[in-house]
Amino acid sequence: MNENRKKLKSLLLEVFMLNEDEFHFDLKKTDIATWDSLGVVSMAVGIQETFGYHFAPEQAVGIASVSDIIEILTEKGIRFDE
Amino acid sequence: MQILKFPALHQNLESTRAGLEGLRAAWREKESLILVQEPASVDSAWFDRTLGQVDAAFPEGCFALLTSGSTGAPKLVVGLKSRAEALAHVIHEHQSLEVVQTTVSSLPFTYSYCLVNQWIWSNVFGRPLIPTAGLADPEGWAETLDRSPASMVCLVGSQVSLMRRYFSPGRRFPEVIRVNFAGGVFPAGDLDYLRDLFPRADIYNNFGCTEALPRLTIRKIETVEDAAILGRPLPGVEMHVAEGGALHFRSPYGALAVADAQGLRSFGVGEWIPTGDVGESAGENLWRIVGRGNEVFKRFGEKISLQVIGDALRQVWKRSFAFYLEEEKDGQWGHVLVVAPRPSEMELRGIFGVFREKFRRPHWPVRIESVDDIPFLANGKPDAKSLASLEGKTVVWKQYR
Repeated sequence: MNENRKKLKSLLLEVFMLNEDEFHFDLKKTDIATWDSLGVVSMAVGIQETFGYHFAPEQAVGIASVSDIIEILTEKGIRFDE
Repeated sequence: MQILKFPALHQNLESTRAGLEGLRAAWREKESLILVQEPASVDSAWFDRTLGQVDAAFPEGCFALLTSGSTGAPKLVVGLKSRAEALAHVIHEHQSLEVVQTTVSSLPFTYSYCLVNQWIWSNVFGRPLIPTAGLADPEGWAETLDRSPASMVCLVGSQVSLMRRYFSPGRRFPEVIRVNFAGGVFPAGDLDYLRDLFPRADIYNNFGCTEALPRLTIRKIETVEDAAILGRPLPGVEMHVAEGGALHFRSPYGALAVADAQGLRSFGVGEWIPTGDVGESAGENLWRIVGRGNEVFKRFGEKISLQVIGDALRQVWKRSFAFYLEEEKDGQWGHVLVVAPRPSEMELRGIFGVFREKFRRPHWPVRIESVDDIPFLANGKPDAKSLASLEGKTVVWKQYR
């Protein structure tokens, strides 16, 4: 697995207290009960610490899936290719 | 005022025995007395000044305890010998202690729970009290329990994880016929283990506080559900929930005065006194504890109770844990969960499961840290004060904030 994918997976497991077997990269916000408003803040801070990218608050709230995170970070030049 | 010094439990059992002899003699005297556990880590100027005030105000018939309370801050509590003996009679009746032949100590005698439920009871009813070093010497403690007929022990919940660690499965103490818990949350999640460890014992949850010296309610625990609600107040004791949820009491057995950093304060006749716990009604004259006053706080607008979180955590984590509070960057208070020893990945997932399934995110800890051993105060409660600055902690999980 690509190093950035590993980092993102590890971060999201931690932020949302997920079990490893529950995680996949197609997860949507609606699949994760702990993806609440405070979880969004925590995720945004975690992404900044891990990838150095700062989400604007409205951008963070608009994220609806793990794919959305990858898409935004890819646009900023962070590679998630397999 | 006579000063009686007791060594820390694990230090010198001979000195403890000598201290108990001294206590027996001093208790008979008119002159008031004070029990101090050595080493007493208090400011000597404060102690001398306070002692002078107490001696002047209560020269006869009283006893005083220098206690660390549940916070670690020193506090001197003054009680009346006759009141404490009257309470020993009430406890005797409520727990049918006539059949108890011996009592084995596991906690310091400067702890009002151990002093009243064990030493004063044994003194009033003429039953031998056998001092031990408690779980600082598990083998010695176990041997004493094995050879003490029809005994009573007084424990605090945090000692259960130590018993699990020291005693292999199948170890039993059939001579123990009364087991008391006090000084914090009853370890409801360990009830099956306790029944197995003490197969002949009646198990009791005792609620009170230092100012009550110490007992307000006693409840026999038959099922896990019993542990959730306190027993009814003892005869003569009244309890009510004041504004903000603070649980208050009035008791004919309670302390006369308390001295802390703010000075000596006597309690007026009929004065409602805070227990230090936050409670709620659970029916007519029945109460449920939500947490210690300093263990219930608001976070993101939600009321956080460390006791409720701890109760849930005990379902999956059978070893030691404690909390300390920490102020975050935005000025809000959050709680840090400290577990010991370090949890495995699977165990950590179990802890996560509790938070995910039972609590909204504001109730989640700011961090989960692990240490080899949780530091405890002499009264067996986690030393929350030193947890924050403890060295050698490992962060096993954190919230990004």
